Amino acid sequence: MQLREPLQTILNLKGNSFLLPIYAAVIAEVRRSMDDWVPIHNLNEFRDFLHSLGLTVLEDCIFQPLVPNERIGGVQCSPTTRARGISMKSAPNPVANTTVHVIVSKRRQWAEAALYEAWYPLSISGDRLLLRPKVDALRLGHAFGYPECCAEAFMNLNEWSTHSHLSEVFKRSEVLNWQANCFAMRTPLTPICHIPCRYDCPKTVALTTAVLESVCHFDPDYAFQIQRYLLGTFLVLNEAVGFKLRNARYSGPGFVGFSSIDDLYGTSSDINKHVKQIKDLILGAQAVALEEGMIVTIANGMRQWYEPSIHAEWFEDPFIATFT
Amino acid sequence: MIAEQQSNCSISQHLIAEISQLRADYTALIALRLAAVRDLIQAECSDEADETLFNEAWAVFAGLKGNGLVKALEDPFLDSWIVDTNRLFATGVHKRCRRTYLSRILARFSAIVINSVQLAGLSQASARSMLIGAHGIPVLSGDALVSRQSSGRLIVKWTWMAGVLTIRNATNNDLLLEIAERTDQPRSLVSGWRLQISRPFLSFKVFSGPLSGAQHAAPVAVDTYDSFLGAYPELPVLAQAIIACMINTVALRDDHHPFLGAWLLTLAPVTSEEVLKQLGASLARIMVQVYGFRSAGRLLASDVGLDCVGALGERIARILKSSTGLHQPHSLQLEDLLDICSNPRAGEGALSFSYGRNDIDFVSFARAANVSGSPLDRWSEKRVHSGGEERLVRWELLDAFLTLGRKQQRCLLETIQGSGSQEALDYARACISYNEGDFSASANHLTQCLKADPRCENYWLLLAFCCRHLGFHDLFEEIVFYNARKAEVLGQMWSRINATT
Repeated sequence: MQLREPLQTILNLKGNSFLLPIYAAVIAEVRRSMDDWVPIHNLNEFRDFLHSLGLTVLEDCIFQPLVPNERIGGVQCSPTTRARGISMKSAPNPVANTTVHVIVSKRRQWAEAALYEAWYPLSISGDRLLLRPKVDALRLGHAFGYPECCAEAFMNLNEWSTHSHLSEVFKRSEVLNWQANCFAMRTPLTPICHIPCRYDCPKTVALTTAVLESVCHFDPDYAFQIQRYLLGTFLVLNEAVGFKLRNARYSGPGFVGFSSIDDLYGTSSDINKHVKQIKDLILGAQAVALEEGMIVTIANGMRQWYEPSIHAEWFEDPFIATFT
Repeated sequence: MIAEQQSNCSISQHLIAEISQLRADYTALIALRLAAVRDLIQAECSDEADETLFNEAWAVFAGLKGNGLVKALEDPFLDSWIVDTNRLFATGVHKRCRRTYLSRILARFSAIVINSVQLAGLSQASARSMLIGAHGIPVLSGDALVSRQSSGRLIVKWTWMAGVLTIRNATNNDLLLEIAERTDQPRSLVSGWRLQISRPFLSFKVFSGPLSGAQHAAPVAVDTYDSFLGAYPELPVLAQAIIACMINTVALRDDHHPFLGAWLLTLAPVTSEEVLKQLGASLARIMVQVYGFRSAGRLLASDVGLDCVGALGERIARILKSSTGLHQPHSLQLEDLLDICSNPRAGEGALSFSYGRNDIDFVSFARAANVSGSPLDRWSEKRVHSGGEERLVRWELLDAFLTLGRKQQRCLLETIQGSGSQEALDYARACISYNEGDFSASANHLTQCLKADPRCENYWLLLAFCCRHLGFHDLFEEIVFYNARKAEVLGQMWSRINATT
């Protein structure tokens, strides 16, 4: 991925291309603040570079990835974060992918407000998870500058073991507006980092428009790529399993054919046996449909299906959505 | 030697009595749970109950009587079906995802009844069942697939007569599957059923519950089980089956499938004095523990953690590998659970002081104050002590207070105050202050709580969050990362709060 400055330097320093549009938005004060994870060996350089852009960087703590199968009390309560929290005062043993959680903002006051709320479920002393009180999620949404309606909806719907938040939003959406498409959140091509209250939420649409304008200021091609990616057809089970169906077209009763698919979460989601099963099924298919709430695929003329399980770690409620 | 044998024999007698009592309790309670679930279905989704042939299946089940009914109630599929159905209703999934989950689970009952009537020992029965997704008929503890042509709906007509089960396609009357009883050459360890396949019979997973589409051609557990049989040919029948349970649990643990309970309940009917005598006393005791553990969880209508069951499985494995066995009885968990089982919500009926050693329990307060918002069971959280078995603070009470308006909060506080528990009152005030963003006040109440219980992690960790919000990031880290649980931390916090105010 080749971008224009300053986005390219930020990408180089943090070592991945996630959240780059949000940096543009924070520089333009379209977003109050954001958080990110920076490789510990690049922290000083990263901080200096962002200071040169007029940004404040506050460090929270070190995220050290858990070793696979490490026994942490309550780890099953954290669907996405799998790390041990370490104070910045400690000198951690060098471990691959060790990062520092940072808050970035144009104003120090905004950065501090976000830092207070931005606790993730990390493993702490005693090898156990420390969960965040629910109310802090609402406060964090406010500190980051998410629409109030979306932060409220998050409080009610983000019960990942009993709800598919994305599916519930789909059910309450009348129109699927690409500017409220949040499925690319784990890719470099997202202008928003929150789940909107509806896929036509006017405040989210306005936020996306403003974010893309700020991206356009630095890199018009990048802004165009983002827009192009968010348009189209997606198959989503929950916040851990989702796919973009490229060149999707309706082929036969209820079936959507496609030329290829993108795994929206890739290796960022925890791959257990269950998730692998559905991914293998979809990745090998040429068409997909939903029947009786199940995902039916056609792969080389063979019909296969997947039954959402009530025992899945993440609640599964599949849907196919086409954003225009 | 003789004394040891006598001792083993007396332990066996004791175990048999324990199992018998567990079975009796289980059967009685599962009947009540089943009736309650059926009432829910009729009240919430009577149309789907008709459409999915649930009602037709229920009529068959309701016709069972006496000993036949008791045996049918021991059907392991029934227990896991009730757990799953309750979960759908408790979480509102039955309203939100009617197509994805509700239809399938109602249709599943219509198939489970096929197994139940066989267990009940009826001479004959017949009805229709609906199969959605994997077209499997529950047999023993697995599913026999009758078709894999489609993931859509298939209505079958089944007939049970003279020990032979016949499954036909209800639309074209094609014979799909026939299962006949043969006791002289059992294929399974747990029963004398033998499958005689007449028409497309694609797979039979002995050690799995409901199949999902992509799994049906991969009987991994069976292979693993066979290799265990080869390694331990001298093991008695029941011990072999326990190993199978263990393998199954370990294999399925990631998927959170609660099938171990199903297996053990299947085993219960074959438990006999002769089999128990063959077992080492320790192994038998653990078997009873596992059985009781799962049963207790079921009776409470909540799934017990598979981690715990996995740990028991590992213990069984160790015993089997070392021929010496264990000499210490491991009855603590079983006894604890049976105690809970017989009295699941002690003191819940009256407004008693339930702010106890193990739970920070506001259930009775919330009920007395007649608060709405969160369900009553959310008004309780585990009291976590460092070094204790419970390590995770889940903030249920903090979250529950979020659902209350000011008037209800006041009403609840008055009720707690009336109970005379200062510690409970302080924690309630700490939660309310935290949710309202008054972190100094919350820290103040938590400091009072810590005077009552200085080892309570719920108090320390919420205090840490207060420090974080107050901008005392170093104190947050002291508590969270360096495990500082001392008066100095509180002293520093208060000197800074006082300085800023």
